[in-house]
This record gives sequence, structure tokens and C-alpha cells, in this order.
Amino acid sequence: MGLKDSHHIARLAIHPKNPDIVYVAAMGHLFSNNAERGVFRTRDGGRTWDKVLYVNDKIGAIDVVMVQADPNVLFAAMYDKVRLPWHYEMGGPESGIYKTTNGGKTWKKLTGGLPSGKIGRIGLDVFQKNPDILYAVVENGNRRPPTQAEIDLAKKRGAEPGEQTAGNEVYRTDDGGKSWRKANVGYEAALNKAPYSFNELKLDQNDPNTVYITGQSLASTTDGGKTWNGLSWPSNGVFQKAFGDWRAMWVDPDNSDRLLFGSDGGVNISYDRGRTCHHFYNIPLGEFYAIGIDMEDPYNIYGGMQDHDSWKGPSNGWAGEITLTDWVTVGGGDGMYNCVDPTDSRWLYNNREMGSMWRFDQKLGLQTPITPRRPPGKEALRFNWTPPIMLSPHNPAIVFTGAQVLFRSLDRGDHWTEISPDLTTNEKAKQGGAGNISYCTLTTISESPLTPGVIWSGSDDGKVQVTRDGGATWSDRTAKIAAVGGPEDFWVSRVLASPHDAGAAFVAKTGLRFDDFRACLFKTSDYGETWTSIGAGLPARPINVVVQDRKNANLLFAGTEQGVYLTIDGGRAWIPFKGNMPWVKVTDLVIHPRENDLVVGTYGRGLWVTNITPLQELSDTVLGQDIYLFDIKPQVQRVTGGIGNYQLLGDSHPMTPNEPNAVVINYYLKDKTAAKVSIKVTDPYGKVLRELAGKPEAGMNTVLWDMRAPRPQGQGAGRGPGGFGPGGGMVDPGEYVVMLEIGDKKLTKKALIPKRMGWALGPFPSVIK
Amino acid sequence: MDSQSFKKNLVGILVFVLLAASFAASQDRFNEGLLKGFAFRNLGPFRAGSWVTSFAVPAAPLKESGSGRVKPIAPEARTRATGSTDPRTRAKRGRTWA
Repeated sequence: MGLKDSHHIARLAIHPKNPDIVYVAAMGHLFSNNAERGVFRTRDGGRTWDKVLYVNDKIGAIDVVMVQADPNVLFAAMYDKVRLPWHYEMGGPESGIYKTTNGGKTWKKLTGGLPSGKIGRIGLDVFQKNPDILYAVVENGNRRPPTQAEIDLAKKRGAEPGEQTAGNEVYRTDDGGKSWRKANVGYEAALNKAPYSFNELKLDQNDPNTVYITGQSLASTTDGGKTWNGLSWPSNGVFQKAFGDWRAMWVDPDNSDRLLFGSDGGVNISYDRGRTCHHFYNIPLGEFYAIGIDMEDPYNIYGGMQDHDSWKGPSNGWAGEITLTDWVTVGGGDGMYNCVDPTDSRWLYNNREMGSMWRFDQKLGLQTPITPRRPPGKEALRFNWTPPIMLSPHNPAIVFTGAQVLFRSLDRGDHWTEISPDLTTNEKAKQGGAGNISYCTLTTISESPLTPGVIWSGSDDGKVQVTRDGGATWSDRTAKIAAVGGPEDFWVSRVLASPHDAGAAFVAKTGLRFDDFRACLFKTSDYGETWTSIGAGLPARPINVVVQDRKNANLLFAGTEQGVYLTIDGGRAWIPFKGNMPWVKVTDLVIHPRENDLVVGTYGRGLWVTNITPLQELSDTVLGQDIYLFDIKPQVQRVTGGIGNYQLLGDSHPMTPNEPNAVVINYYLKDKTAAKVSIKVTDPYGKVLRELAGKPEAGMNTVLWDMRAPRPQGQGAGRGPGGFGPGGGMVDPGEYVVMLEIGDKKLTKKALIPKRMGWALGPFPSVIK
Repeated sequence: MDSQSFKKNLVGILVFVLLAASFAASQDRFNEGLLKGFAFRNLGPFRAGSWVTSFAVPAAPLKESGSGRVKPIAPEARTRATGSTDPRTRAKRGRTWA
């Protein structure tokens, strides 16, 4: 619908009677200047746009509100800020409130009583029953004298009271913006958690003295700002039992008791003005940073989530499905990495934002802090927002993590050794930036699964380094990658040591934080002496992760800012691997080494899983054959199903079915066939147990054998693993033969059912002492 | 060029052409449609992070008419949350948001 280069839209205002007329507050590029920002207007439903309010290529529009009774009157908030990969400048002199009375032809910057100077994010709302009344929450970055309370507090601490940052202020006008007065006198120190991230202001359209402002809690006043609730966390105001960090809000203009808000916990609704609320837990959202897996059967998936700790959930559930109740928390904070000892799932290592690291004893449910420290006097450690953790593929008791240096522990994190110098650029000017940013830090590490001591590192400021002797010496490969197209300062999103060749590795770099979206993916086969770009076949989307299949060295998956791509020829050609998965940001990919499941961690839509067994055989050679029957993944028979009707929770309760409890048979047809496609399952002696019909379509086709065979004569029908379903009774674990017949062509493969598994009933308390 | 060399070159060219044609054909077959049968399972867990950014609440809900124009569909107000439909009516009907 246009405005493609605006990148970030903050608000829309739609004409109440003519929906073809829309005003857009566009912030523009996040990390760079560009002209497509400001307030835009369309009069033809989005076919064409006019930029009606523009300051310069650095200033965006963060809010716009329209007077419903006179849609030619609008107020807009402009936002002067600078975002760099290593720093956030919260405000500037160009932030301000503008008004138009002629539908955007001309605008006037409002000043009377409003602060100027270093101003950040502004939120607006107009009281529609009297549009001369307007409120604004203004992030004021100027300095002010301390309040009496601040003076008293400083004296109590024996400190000298000094100037303070003014912080969030609320202003009100009663004359359409000509003059403003401060409405939150005495609350200057409140509402100050990252206003750049919140600062949405909403009015109760039935009471001009009731105002809500989003922040860590939902701040509210019912007396025009004389007194406030919800300035602290936990909140003493409305929505006390809801998750904090409020982002968005709506107050029903027809019923002030009805409030709808969005926070980092999702969406809540209240029917009693926030005294109580209902949380919609069934919206399929979730922002993962990194994921891990264990080797249990069925295996579990672990992941760290923005705002929501670290979680563990099963790949297949005991009731034949996976629901919210199957997931448990295993770590706190903004969850980040989760790595499980593949030889003993008891030991889980995870961390949270900027470095706090834990060892979780899953047997006893005990968390032990194991964050690496430095002795006093040494330069402070710098941990990335998402600090990497890796267990050595040669000994899972050896743990690696990274700050600006690489740490190694030989005893599960009890003691740490620095095994590198500073592996970043260590540019002092890029350290200590504002905006909750830690820069010049390691973002990714990878040890060769083939040769102990070959370890790769990557940093947010672009450095790629490798050691071949366990950290004694390091080689900087950054310039060599730059020589083949990987800019030196691009964030290293992933280093990956190949499981096929000790000298081979992959490096992904992302220019997202420079608004440069080209795909940067590189491979070396000689420990980084020379590099080849393998991202040319990918669309212009920053790459966040790359994985190489353990069986097929030419099978690679790349997780990008928009979706997963795969190649079967080592990176010459890539195609989207989408299926039914939303086309969203992908932050992590893991291939389960036993199940050959690809686990996809998205930043927005949770975890997704599919089995890639047939892809491990896919090649140009296979694609050139008329018919191809793929190897068949061994399939455990799972005895599932909860007893009773407890699952009847309505249709709003999210449930994800287990993987098919069936042997999955995949075959490829070069062209659509007119012949009958038949799949016969026999025992090892050739006795046909089942005959299934396959599709004749060109491409890859799938048939499921439910591991059942017709019941012997004289036995009645039944259900369950011991009885007989539609396909008969469950066959016993063992070896079977699958034969694909198309015309006169017959292809066979072995199908293995290694075991039949049920679920023990739990939970199982443990004695700790 | 003697006839022997000519034959050798001809064979080489033919082999190259056949290989190139074969490679091109396999590249043609390597497309997104090849993977259309793959289905992903969304395991959750459903925990919205810093995700909800706005609620849009039109006074009169709109819909696309056949001409591509947007028209009001009902006089009653409905609530729209990002990525979903009306939470009140959805919740009452017991539908999953997807």
C-alpha cells in the first residue's frame, strides 16, 4: 500500500466518514536517516501518498490524533532521536507537537508552555467531546533542579543533591494547543522506565480528567494529574494482576469500564475499569532468542524468550498433543541460551540478558549461579544482550561462554578460565552507550565437532576469530571475510564449525543495525584463510542463523529476518522453506541429531518443528530420477491419550497435535504419473500387512503408515495400542519392508519400529537433602 | 583440426551440453513447490513479548467491497487487536486466535 521505505509506522488516523483518507505517522529507518518519514496523507485509500509534515531526514512522526468532529484538525508528535548499534540518544530539539487545521496543508509547531531542548518520545490524545482539551506525555531529557523529596533523600544518604533529568512529564491544554500546563507536578521522578519504549497516552473519552499512560505499570489519574496510581512496579493501580511493561491501550469510548491493553505479557481486557482483568493466553505469539534440545525420548525443546524467561516443553506430549500446561519455566529474565548436556539431561545451562548464567539441575530442580567473574581491578566484563553458551561436543562438562573474551569451564561452570584476549574491536567510543545496550561483545561461539580446540568466535562489532589450539593463539579472519563481501563492522550473527570438515566453517553477518538488509553468508574450508560467499542466492534479508545437516554436508538451512531458506547444493541455490509457518523473523535453528527434526525458533510466533529426513537425501541426482523412495526414519510407537474428558476445554485452548504416530514414507516423482501409486508394507518375509494409496503428483509426496495391520480372523475390533483401530491392530516393534510400486517399477526400503513407548505418570518429587 | 580432434571436441561439447541441460533441469525442479508437502507444528509456548503495539478501534468496522473499496459492515463497534480479531467475540465463541 505504499510507504515501503518508511520501515516503521507508529500510528494511523482514519477519517471517521471517509476511510479513503488516512494519516500515517511514520518513524522511518531505525538506524539511519531517510526521507520517507514524517506524517503522510492519502486521499485515495493508499494508492498515493502526500508527505504533509516533514522536518528532516532524521526526524520521524511517533503519534497522530484526529479530531473526529472536524477531521481537518490533527495533532502530530515528531520524534528527534538517534539510534546506533551501540548507543541510543533519547531526544533532541526537533521533537515537538504540531497542529493542522486544514487537513495537513499547513502545520504549526505548538510551544506555549511545552518544554523545549532535549525532548524525546511524545504521546498524545484528544478529548473528542471537547477537542480543545489535549493531553501529552513528554519525555523531557533536560536537566532540572532536584525536588524537595530528592533533596531529602540525598541528604539522608549523605550525598549532595544534584540536578536530575526532568523525565516524563504530562501536559494539558484546554485551548486547542495554544497554551499548556504541566499536569503531573510532584511526580517528575515517576514514569521513567524507558519512555522511548512506551509513552502511549489514552484519555477516557467520557471524563477529561481520567488519563492512562503506558509504562512499566499502567499509570492513571482520575483528577487530571493531581494524583496518580500505577507509578511503581508491582502496580498499585489498575490491572494489578497483569504482566507489566504496558505498550498499547484502548479505552472504550462507549463504556469507560471496558479497557483493553497490550503489554509484554500479551493482551488483557477489563470490564470493570481495570480492577480485574482477563488475559488472552491463546494468542500464538512468542519471541525466542535461542533454542536448545535434549536427547530424551521424546526429546524436549528449550528456549529463551523476550520478557518471558526460559522454557522447556516436549516435542510430543503424553496426551497426544502439546498444550500450554506441558511447558515449564527453567530460567528467568529475558531468557536467552539454553544448552542441555546431551549425555545427561540433568544438566541444563542457561542465561539471561547481559550475562547472568545458571546451571539448572533438572533432577533436583536446583539452580546454581555460574556467571563468570573477573577479579577486581581488571576491566569490567561486557556481555551481549544474548550472550552465547556452548557445550563442547567432545565433553559436555566443558562449557563455553563469551563476554568480550571467551570463557571455558572444565567443571560445569564451577570455575572459569579466560582462554582468549579481547576478541572484539574493543572500541572505547562504542562502549557504555545509553539505551540498555552492551556493545563490543561476543555474540556467537562454535567448537568444531571433529577437532577439540578448534573454536570460532564472532562479535557484535564484526570480528570473526578462530583458534586451533584451544585458545592459546587466535587468528582474526574479519578482513578476509570483508574481502568477499562481509562488511567488517556487520554484527556476526553466527559462526558455525562444520560437522563434516574440521577446517570448514560458516559465518553469517547481519547489517540490520545499519538498515542494510543484504544476505551475508560465507564459508571457509581452510580455517578461515580463504572464504566464499554462499549467500548470493538468498534474497536481501539479514541472516540470523545457519545450520548444516550432520548427514548431508550440502544441506544447509538459513534463518533470516523473514523465514527459513534451504539449499541442497551447499549454497549455490536457495529456496524458501515455509510450509505453514508464518513468514516471520527466525532467530535460531537446531537439527535434532537423532530425530532429524528441524526446530525453528522465531521472534514472534513461537517454536515450529518439522522432520527433514527426506531432505537429507535430496540432491540434483535425486531430482533427476523419475521415481525415488527416500530412506524411512525409524519410528517409535507412542501410546498416548489422556483418560477422561478433561481435554474438552473449548476451542480457545491451544493444542498442538503430536507428530503423526506413524511411519512416514516419502517418495519423489519427477513428473505427475497416470499410473497407480501403491505402497505395500510387508513383514521381513514378504507377507503384505498393509497396502496404501499414494498421490501421483510431481515433487515430494508423503504417505503415512499408522503401524497397524488388519486384525487376525476371529479377533474383534477395539481401540488403543493393544486393540484395533481402523487399520487394524498395532504391529509389534521390529523391521518391516516398504515397497513403492508405480507401473512396473518397484522400489523398496526398510522401515524400523524400534520400540513402543508410553508415559510414566508424574510428577516425581525428589529429596534434595 | 583433424577429424579425430574434431570428433573429440564434438563429444566434449555434447557432454557439456547434456550436463548443463541436466543441471538446468534439476535446478528447475528445485523450487518452493517441491517442499509444499512439509508441515510445521507450532509447539508454542504462547507468551507474547514486546509485541502488542497498537489497538485499532474503528467507530464503524470496515470491509472490502467487490470494487476494492472499503465499506462499513456493521453499526456496532468492534475491537481489533494486532494479529487477531475481536477478542470479545472470539473469546465468547471460544475460538483460537491464529
